[in-house]
Amino acid sequence: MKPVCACHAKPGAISRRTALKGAGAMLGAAAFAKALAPLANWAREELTVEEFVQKHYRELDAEGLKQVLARHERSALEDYGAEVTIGDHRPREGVVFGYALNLGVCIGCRKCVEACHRENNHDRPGRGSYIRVLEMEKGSMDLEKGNARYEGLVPREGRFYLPVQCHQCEHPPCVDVCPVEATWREDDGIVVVDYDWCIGCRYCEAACPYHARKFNWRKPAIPKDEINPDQSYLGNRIRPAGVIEKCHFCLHRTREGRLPACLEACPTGARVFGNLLDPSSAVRKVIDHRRVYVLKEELGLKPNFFYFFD
Amino acid sequence: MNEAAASPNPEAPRGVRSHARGYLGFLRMAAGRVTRGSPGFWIWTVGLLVVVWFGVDAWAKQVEQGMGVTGMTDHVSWGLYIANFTFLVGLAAGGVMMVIPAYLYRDKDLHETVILGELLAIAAIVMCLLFVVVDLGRPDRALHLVPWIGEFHFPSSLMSWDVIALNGYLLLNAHVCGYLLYKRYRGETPGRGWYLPLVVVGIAWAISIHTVTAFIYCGLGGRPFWNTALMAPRFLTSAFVAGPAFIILILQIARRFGGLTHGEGSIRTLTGILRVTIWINLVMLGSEVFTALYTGGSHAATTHYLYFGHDGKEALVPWMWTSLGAMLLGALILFLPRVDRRRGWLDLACVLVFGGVWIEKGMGLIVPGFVPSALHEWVEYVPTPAEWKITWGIWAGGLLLYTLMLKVALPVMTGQLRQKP
Amino acid sequence: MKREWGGIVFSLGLAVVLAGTGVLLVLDGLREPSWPDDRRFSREETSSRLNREEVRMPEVELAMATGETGPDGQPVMQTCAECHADRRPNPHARSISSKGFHAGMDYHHGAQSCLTCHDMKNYDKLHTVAGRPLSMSNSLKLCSQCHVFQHRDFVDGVHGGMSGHWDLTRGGRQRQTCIDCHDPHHPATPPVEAEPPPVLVRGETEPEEKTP
Repeated sequence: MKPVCACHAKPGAISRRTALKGAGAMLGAAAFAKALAPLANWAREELTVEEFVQKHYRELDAEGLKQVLARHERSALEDYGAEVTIGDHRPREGVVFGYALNLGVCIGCRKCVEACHRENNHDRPGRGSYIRVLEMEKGSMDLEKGNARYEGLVPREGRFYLPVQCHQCEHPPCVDVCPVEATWREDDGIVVVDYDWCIGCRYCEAACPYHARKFNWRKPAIPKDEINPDQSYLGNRIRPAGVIEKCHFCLHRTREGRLPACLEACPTGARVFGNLLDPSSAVRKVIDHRRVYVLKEELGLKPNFFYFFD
Repeated sequence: MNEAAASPNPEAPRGVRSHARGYLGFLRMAAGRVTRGSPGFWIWTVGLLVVVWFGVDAWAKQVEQGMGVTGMTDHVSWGLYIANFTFLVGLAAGGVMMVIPAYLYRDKDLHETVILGELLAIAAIVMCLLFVVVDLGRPDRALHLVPWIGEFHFPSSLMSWDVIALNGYLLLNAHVCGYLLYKRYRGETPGRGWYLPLVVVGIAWAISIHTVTAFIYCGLGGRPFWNTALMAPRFLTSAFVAGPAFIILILQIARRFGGLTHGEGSIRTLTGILRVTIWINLVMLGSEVFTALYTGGSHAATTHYLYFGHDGKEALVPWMWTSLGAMLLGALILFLPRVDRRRGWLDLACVLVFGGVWIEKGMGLIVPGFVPSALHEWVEYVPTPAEWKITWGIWAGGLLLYTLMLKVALPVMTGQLRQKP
Repeated sequence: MKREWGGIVFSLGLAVVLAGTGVLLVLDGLREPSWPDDRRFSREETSSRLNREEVRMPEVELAMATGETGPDGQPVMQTCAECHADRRPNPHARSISSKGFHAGMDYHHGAQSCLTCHDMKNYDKLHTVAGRPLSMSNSLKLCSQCHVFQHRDFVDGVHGGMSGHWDLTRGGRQRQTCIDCHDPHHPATPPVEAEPPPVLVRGETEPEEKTP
């Protein structure tokens, strides 16, 4: 083998060159340590050991769950200064939720959007909401003609309004694609996200044809007195940065038998909510006795969200 | 060298333990070798390290401040990172175009140079994995992806398939390269049973990594632009464009600076492959564009936007025409008989088709899948400086890894570096 | 040949390891996260007693501005009965024809005259089509005599705002009544100001035409 470099021939040069390399390596290491400083900073402020080793929500036992809920209540107090109660709302047997929306009376006032924004502790500057209302041209159901950014007095001549939120599909593609089972469809048909398990790859966001999933691009900012303290683990608790969130049919309300916030905010009664398994429920009456329309039905996802015209 | 003392005669039968010691010695030798080099080597590696530093710096800030520092939005939720990831899976798979002739058809020249393709696969897969990590909103939860430790959603999620495919391909190539180099280094004949079955598995695996990656996108019914059966075949052909084009350039660099004596025949073979694959790629692209534009309607909106813009939104139009122009020009140059004699023309063609495919599969395929969004809203995507820094940082890191691997592999392959008896 | 055997054993061993890993992966994938401690469903007791659905019956102040201002600076109000104690009502007064004292009223309710709904025998009351008196706050009954489809929708729960519980076994429900949203003299609802649109994100531009 020939000498790898010239220095091997001159013993005196070895130390000089080695010293130079050593100094270079030290300098390089220091530079990289400096570059990584924000990472250490973030880990110190946002990460705890308990959170790092926390199990998947479904595998927590009762005691473990209690500790997790208490920890999140504490961090809401520390990070936002708000006293909140985080519950674990579970589905009831014999209930599958459905939603129907009367496009004939929706006036596009966005009261539902605003109610969702407040109820679900969305980021205030980003004015987040799980509902997006499209102003559509009469005579067409083509989303291409929709406009989500309309302003001013509504309803406008020649337009109708199409609010879109999570359709809680029976075959949710977003659930299929999640690589870590951080999202799943519960027994009452609500598709939920474990915000403590999501890795933030956003594959589900790409898979959803209804633009129902949103990503927390930053840590949500909410003034203390605007925080809704009535919270749920899988529902409206304040989400951490870097995870996906979505409409959960206000499960902290609906699993207690109450109506979702968007429905209560609707001034026209365009929104109909209820138990699909109960033939006397309002939503079943709509489906059984009226002509309903399912958005993008051709995709075969079987949403539990229906549109109708009175 | 320690292992030399343990076994003075390399031909003597040796136990597994002494081989393990020998392999460690080989790795130690490799580690020593990559910390020595000419000024040119140091300028190149330190230069790459500086670029890596900018990437690390930007990534640490991205984790601290949130993914909001990127140009991505809820409308375009994948950007530069996933675009590069997709392209690099192709580059990793592209190396198989050397492996097939080298091992299955016993191409003598390629047999001597195939290690370049296999090492490229390693570097490219490492880059892929890094691009996935920097795209995660919660990199601290990456362990949730590990089977048994986390909740691995296999076989439902195509992403979980990709985790297996990519890591498996990395291991396969790491083993084959390590084994062959170790044997060469010791001056021994590699035992075929130790690597040949894995090479054959590797060929199928290379096809699978890019097929699975294509399935990630084309299986989504809500994204009409991606929802095409031609996605996987297109991915493979474009991989067999980018891979050979890159290796042709690397072979010339290795011959010039790395003391590689073989390679003329390899370049000829790869040029032949490139001549065909680039045209198949262009035909497939044309077929997609025709189908979309002639049919029209809302499913063609993306294609129309890509090449002509939509209502003044034209962020991708220059990219797409550059890509198309580069690929067409490269393909035409490759037709000229003179590329076999004049390396300048070949190199130009390789750079053109490589760049063309990079745009086509990155900005031209991943980003437009989101434009218009699922509710037909028109939101454009432009990468931010942070994203460019991280992207170039990962590319520099990958090139650094490839350089260092070649620095050991080339002298071993040419016989300049042998264990002292 | 010993070396070759080593390779074959290695390959076979590796194949077994790979296959085993594959099986383990599938097993892991099929393993759904389990629900310990019966956490899957709510264990809350169900009750068979149904709570009520209440329709609002708002108090209606039956008075009209006379157009004069009183000594306290407030407009002078007068009830129907006060004026109509000695004034005969005009049975033909309707949206297009209302003059005089009623001319200032924004009255757009098809071809209905005042007396279609108001009871000229008792001005504090309304009356049904059949002439039976009806309380002022019972607009639901009054309106539904003509607006049968709206009434059907209301009964089905698909017209008019509501709040409370979807599940009446766990709580009641409050319904808005017709005049909570509709002015009985001008039932077509006026346009409202929409809540602000979503925040403009990076790469998004305002549509050319967003306001009338």
